[in-house]
Amino acid sequence: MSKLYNLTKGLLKENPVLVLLLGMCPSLATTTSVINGLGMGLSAMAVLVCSNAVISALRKLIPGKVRIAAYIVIIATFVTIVEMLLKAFVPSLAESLGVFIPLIVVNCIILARAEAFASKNTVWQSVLDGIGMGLGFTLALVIIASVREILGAGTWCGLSVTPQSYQNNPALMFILPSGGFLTLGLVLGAINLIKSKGGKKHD
Amino acid sequence: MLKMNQSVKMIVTLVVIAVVVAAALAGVNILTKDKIAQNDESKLQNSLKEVLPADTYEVLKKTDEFTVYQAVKNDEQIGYCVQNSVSGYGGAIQMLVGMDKEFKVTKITILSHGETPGLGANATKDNFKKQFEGKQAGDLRVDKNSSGETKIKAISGATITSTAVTDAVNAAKKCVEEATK
Repeated sequence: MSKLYNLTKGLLKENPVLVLLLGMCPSLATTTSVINGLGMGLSAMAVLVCSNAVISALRKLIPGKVRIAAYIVIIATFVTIVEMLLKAFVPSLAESLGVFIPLIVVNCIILARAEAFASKNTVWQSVLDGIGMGLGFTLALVIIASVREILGAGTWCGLSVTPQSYQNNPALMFILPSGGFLTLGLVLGAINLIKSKGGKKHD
Repeated sequence: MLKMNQSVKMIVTLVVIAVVVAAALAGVNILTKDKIAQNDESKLQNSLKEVLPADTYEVLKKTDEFTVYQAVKNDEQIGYCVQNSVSGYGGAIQMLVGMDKEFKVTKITILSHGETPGLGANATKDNFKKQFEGKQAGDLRVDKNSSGETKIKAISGATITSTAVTDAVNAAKKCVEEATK
C-alpha cells in the first residue's frame, strides 16, 4: 500500500458515491447542473477534511457511547462555518446551492468517514482520506451532472454544447428527479461494467 | 463508582465540545455578518435598480407579506417597486415588480422560487418576463395561446407558475394602493 493510498482510494477504487453508495441524496439533488454539482462537491470536501481532522485529533478523548452525538455537533459546526463563509464571499454559489448547504450535515459520506476512518486513524491519514473522498464525491457529481445537464438542458457549465434547436426542446426528463435516478443507475452500471472488464484483462 | 466516572467523562466531553463549537461559530459569525448584510443589501439595491432605475428607494410600507418602495429620481417620485410573494407550483415565488405612477409595469424580476427546472423555472427567462413590460398591472390574465394588452402567454407546461407570477404582478398594484391610502 503506497503512502498515498488513503488519498487515491477515494477517487475511483472506493469512490464514495459510485462504489460505497454514500451521499445519494445530494448526488440526485444537486446534479441538475455541473456548476451546482462542483460547488456542492467542493463544499462537502471542505467540511469532510475539517471534520475528519478534528475527529481524528479527538479520537482518544471522546467516549465511545457519545461519539455519534459528538461527531454530528462537530460536522454541523463546520457546515455552518462553510455556509457563513459562502454567503459572505461567494453569495451567488450560496444562492444556487440554497438549502443543500445545510443538508451537508446529514451527508452520509461525512459521518461514515468519521466513524469508519477518522476515529481510528491519525490526523494526517484522516486528512488524506477526507481529500480523496471529497475529490471522489466531486468527480461523481460532475459526471452525473454532465450527463444530466447536457441531455436535459443542452449546456455544460452553462455553455452551449448542443445546437439551439436541441436547447429549445431538450429531454427535460433528465433534469427532473426521474432522470436523476436513471442517470445515477446508468452511471453505476457503466462503472461496474468497466470494473468487471478490467478484472478480466488482468487475469 | 465506575459508572459515575464514565457518566462524568461523557458529560464533560460533550460540554467542552459544545462550548468550543459555540465559541467558534460566534467568532465566524462576527467576522462574516457585516459582509453578509452588505451582500443582501447590494443584492436588493441591484434588483430595485433593475426593475425601475432611480436614485433612491424609500420604504413606504413593509409588512410580513410585502414591501412597497417609492422610487425617487432627480427629486421626483417616478414610481413604485413592490416586493411580494405568491404561491407557485413548488412553493413561494418572491417577486419584485417595478411600476410607474400609473401602475404600468416597467420590469419584473423573480428573486427566488422553487419551480421545476426546464418548466416553471423558465419564468425567469427574459422572453417570459418581457411580456409584462408596458402593461397595466391589476387586470392581467394568463392565456395559453397568445399575449395581448391584458393577456400574458403562459409557458407551455407551466401554467401554474405563469398564473402565479401574473397574480403577483396584479397584487403589486393592490400593495401600492394599500401603502398609499
